[in-house]
Amino acid sequence: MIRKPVFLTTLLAAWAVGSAWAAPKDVFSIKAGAAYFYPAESSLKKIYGNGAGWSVEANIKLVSFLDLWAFGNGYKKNGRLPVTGESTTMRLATFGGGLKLRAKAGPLRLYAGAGAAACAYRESNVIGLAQRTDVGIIGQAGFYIPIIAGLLIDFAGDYTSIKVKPAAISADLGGTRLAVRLGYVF
Amino acid sequence: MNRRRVRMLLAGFVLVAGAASAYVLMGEKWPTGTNMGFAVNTASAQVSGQLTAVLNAASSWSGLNPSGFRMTYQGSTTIVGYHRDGANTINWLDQGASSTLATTYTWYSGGTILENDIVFNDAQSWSVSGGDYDVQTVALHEMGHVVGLDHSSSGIMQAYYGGIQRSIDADARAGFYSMYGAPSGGGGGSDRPPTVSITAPAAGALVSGLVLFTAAASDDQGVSRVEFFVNSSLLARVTASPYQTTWDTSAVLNGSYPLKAVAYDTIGQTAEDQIGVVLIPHAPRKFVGTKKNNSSTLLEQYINVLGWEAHPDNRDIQGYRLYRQDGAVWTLIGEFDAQTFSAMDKNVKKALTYTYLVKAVDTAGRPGDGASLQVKAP
Repeated sequence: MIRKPVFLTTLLAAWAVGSAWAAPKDVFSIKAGAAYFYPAESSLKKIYGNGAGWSVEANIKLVSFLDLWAFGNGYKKNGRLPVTGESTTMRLATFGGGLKLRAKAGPLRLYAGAGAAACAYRESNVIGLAQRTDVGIIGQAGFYIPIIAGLLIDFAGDYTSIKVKPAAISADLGGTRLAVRLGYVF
Repeated sequence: MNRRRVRMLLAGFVLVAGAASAYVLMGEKWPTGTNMGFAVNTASAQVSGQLTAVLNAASSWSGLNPSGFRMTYQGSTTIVGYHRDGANTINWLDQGASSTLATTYTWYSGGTILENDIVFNDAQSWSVSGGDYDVQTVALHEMGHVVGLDHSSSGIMQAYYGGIQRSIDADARAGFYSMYGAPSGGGGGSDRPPTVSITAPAAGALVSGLVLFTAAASDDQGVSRVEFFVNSSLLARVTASPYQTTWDTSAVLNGSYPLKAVAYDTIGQTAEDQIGVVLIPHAPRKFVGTKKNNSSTLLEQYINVLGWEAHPDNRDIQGYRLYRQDGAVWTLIGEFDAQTFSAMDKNVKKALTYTYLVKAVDTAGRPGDGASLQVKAP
């Protein structure tokens, strides 16, 4: 009960000080952090489960309300085959880009965007190896808060849909991803 | 017509060897050349194998001089006790805890015997395997009365049971010859012994399931019966050609077994043939299988998961062999130890049906009968 006001107060203070100390032009930003991935595909969820990964992003201001946006994130987990229990590994590296609308709401910088995503995937086990890159779509929404001297903390959620069929089985390697990142805005 | 009753009693005393002995004739006999038919009722008897003992005794008397007198087994009967009915019967009847072991009832007219019935006292303790009271010994004694001999002071025709004696002593034989004549050549007759040969299965054969057991038997005077034995136990008695029976091995432990065929001619002479066969392991039981999806997210794999149980009548099993039918060929896809009762056939096609065979293998490396199974698409 005490921490929440303290945290918000700290953020607001940092934003105020940061704004006063250095006033970035907010034309370019980079972000890096952690993400938690909730797969959409039931077999992916059943064999490997949800999991944490990395997440990076870069934004370039096009106009006052529109950014060009590029991203990348990763996911790697081990699991067991359903009948034999033999080990299996899945690696997903999703990257892409799109356009984002943005707006200010007090200290918050809100954004929402959509774009194209490509997923480089690699699943390996005793059955064999499935490795390819396929494309899909992504939608993202979030906000960041400037902290101090261009530093920011970013909270985002995205949903990807990347349908693949490297062999006999088709699957959607997308899903929902929640990310927390630190960044710098220039 | 008259009736005479003579009995064999429990051992009261046994005359010592060397005592004066001579056969005693009843005074009545069958006409020379008689082939006396008889039937046996074993339904009330307390031991199995008594029929064989009775037939052996009959063969002993018939073999003395078959052209003078012989007895021929005509099958079973349900008659119990003694009756003047024209049928010569041998049966068991509970006559109470008396000293009587068996009684021969003889109907005769003038000096000619018309009919005999032998009644064993079922209240006594009978044996065919060497214990008291020995069925064959008592049958041999009672049949001496059947041919016309009375009690004598020693040998098989003495009135009291003196232990196992399964052959006709010289004194009783002399009495028989005095009534029916001696065979030409001094004994044994001109009837040659039979011959017998097991024709199936082959010696050393690996057998399973219902095994056809056949023998070829012949005799110059005719074969009266062929008995088939497995492991010394009587399997079947066949009285007419073709001499064959079926050995059902479904509840028999796998392993090696001796098979024997014994042929009897009409005067009780015998011949036998024996071979060894191997009963291979029985097929495992409860062989089941299902097709399961072992796919990962992107890589497809279907697996046929198979399971079976050991057959309770299998012994000395070293393991199991699993085969899959590929076209017309059975391909060995796995070997497992004796404690493994499941297997997986990986990388099968989802939509195809597969046929499997599992066999137990004994410690000599002999595979047994197979249990088969079809696994269809899920």
